Amino acid sequence: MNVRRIVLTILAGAVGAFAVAAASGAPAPAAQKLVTIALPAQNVAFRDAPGVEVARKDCLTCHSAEYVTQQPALSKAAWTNEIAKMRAAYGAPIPDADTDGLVAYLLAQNPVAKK
Amino acid sequence: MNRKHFLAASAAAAGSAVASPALAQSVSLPFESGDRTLATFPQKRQLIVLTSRPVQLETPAAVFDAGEFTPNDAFFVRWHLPDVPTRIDPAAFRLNVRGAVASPLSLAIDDLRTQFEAVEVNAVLECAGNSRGFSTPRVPGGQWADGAMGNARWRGARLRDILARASVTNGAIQVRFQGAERPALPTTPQFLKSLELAVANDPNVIVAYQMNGADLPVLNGFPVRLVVPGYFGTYWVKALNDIEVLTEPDQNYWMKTAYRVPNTPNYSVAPTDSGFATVPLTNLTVRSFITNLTDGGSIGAGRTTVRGIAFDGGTGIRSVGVSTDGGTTWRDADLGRDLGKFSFRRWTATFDAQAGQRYVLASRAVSNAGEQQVNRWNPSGYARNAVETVAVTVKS
Repeated sequence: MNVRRIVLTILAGAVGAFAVAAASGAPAPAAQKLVTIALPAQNVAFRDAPGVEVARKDCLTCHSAEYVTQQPALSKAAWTNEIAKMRAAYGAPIPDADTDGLVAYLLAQNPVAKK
Repeated sequence: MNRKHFLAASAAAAGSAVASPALAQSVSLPFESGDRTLATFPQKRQLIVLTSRPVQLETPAAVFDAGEFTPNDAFFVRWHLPDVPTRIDPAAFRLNVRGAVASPLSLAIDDLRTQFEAVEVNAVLECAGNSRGFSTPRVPGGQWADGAMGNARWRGARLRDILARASVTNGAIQVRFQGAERPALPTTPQFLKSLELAVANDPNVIVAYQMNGADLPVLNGFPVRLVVPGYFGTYWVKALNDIEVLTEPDQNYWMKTAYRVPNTPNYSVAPTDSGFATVPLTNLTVRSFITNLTDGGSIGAGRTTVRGIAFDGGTGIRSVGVSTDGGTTWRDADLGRDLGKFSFRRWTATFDAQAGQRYVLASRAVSNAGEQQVNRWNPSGYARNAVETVAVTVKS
C-alpha cells in the first residue's frame, strides 16, 4: 500500500474579532483561517482479469475500488441488482451492453462459495 | 459472533523505501472479505479505510475502551459523495436558511457563535449501517465492523433558535438540510436529508461548530454540521450550508428511497421476503459492547474486569447485563457516570476466571424505554444491535 504523505495546510488568514460563546465557557476559537486538506491517494485497484477495463470505466468515477473488493460473495442476481441500482438511483451512465461483462468480472472478484 | 479485530497488522512492502509519516498497514475484520488497509487521513490518526472515495474511515475497536468520548482524530468518517470539501474559507462561509420562512438568513460562523445561545450536548453519532459486515446472510453495502460510531460533546446553536430567527411560516412541515459534498456526476442525487418540523424544533438538535472542545475535523464536517441526538448519523449533515423549510414532504432520493427500513417489528424481515412497506430509519437502537477484552484472546486467572459501553436512541441506559456463559445466566453490571441520555454510558462487571477455562462473555443493555437488544435482519443491514459475544481463554 502506498499512503502518500499527508499534507494539512492551514494558511494564515485574516483573523477577525475573537468570537465569544453567548452562554458560558471559554471563548470559542475564531475559526477564520483558510483550511485546506489533501486526501491520500486511492490505494486499492481492481484486479487484472477479463473485463477489468469495463469495471474501471463504469465504476471508478463515483467510488473507489474498495466498494467492490470488500463486498462479501454476492450472487449473480445481487450484482446485477447493484448495477441496476447504480444506474437508476445514482445516475451512473453504464451502457446496457456492459452489464453481462461487468457482472462476470464482479462475480469473479468475489466468488460465491461452492455449495 | 466473533470479534477478532486486528488479527493481522503487517507492514506492507510497497513504497517502504520512502519514509512516510503513515506506515502502510492492514487489518482483518472478522468476516469474509474483511481485509482492510489502515491509513492516516488529514487531522486523523491511523484509521481503518472502508473506502477512500467517498472518504469512509472506521474507528478501531480499542478506541472505545479509552473513555466515553471518542477523540476527534479517531472519530469515524462517512461521506456519501466523492467530492468532499477540502478547502474551506471560514470567513466566506455562510449558512443559508430559506424556504417557508418570513426572514431568510445568511449566517456567518461568527453569527452562529455570537447571535445564538451556545449549548452543549453529549451524543452518540452512529452510522445506520454500523456493523453491517456482521449481517447474516451478508448484504451489499459498506462493510463496517463496529467502528462506525462515536460519542462526542457537541457545541453549537440550537436549530430551533435559528428557525425562530427566520420565522417559519404557516404550512411548514419539514426542514431539509444540505452540505458541501457533491457527486461526481450531475445525474447523481445531491445528498439531502429532512427532519419533521417537530424534530427540527427539539431543543437538543443543534448546528454544531465544536466537537470535544475543538473545531470539527474537516472530514467530520468543518465548519458546522447538524447534530440530531438520538437519530442515526444519516441526518447529521456535514459541512452544513443550506437549510430549507418545506411545505411538502421531501421526495428526494435520500429520504424517499434510501435509509429506509421494513415497517415491521424490529425493522426485521426474512431474507426471502419482498414487497414489504418501508419507513425512514430514525432513532438509534440500544446497543452494548465489551471494550476491554478481545474475542479469541487469553487472560490471566483471578478476579477479572469486564468493561464496556452502552447507548440507545435517546432515553438513556437502564441496565446492562453481563454473562460469562454465553448468555445462559446474567448479572447486572455497574453503570458508570451518567453523561446524559444520548451519550455512551460505561459499565463494568467482574468475575473469577478459573485457570484453563474458556468463557464466552456477552453484554446486553436495556434502555430506559425498556428496549432490548435483538436479532434482526433487513436487506440494507441497518440498525444492527444483536447481543455479541467475546470468547476468552484463561491461562493455566
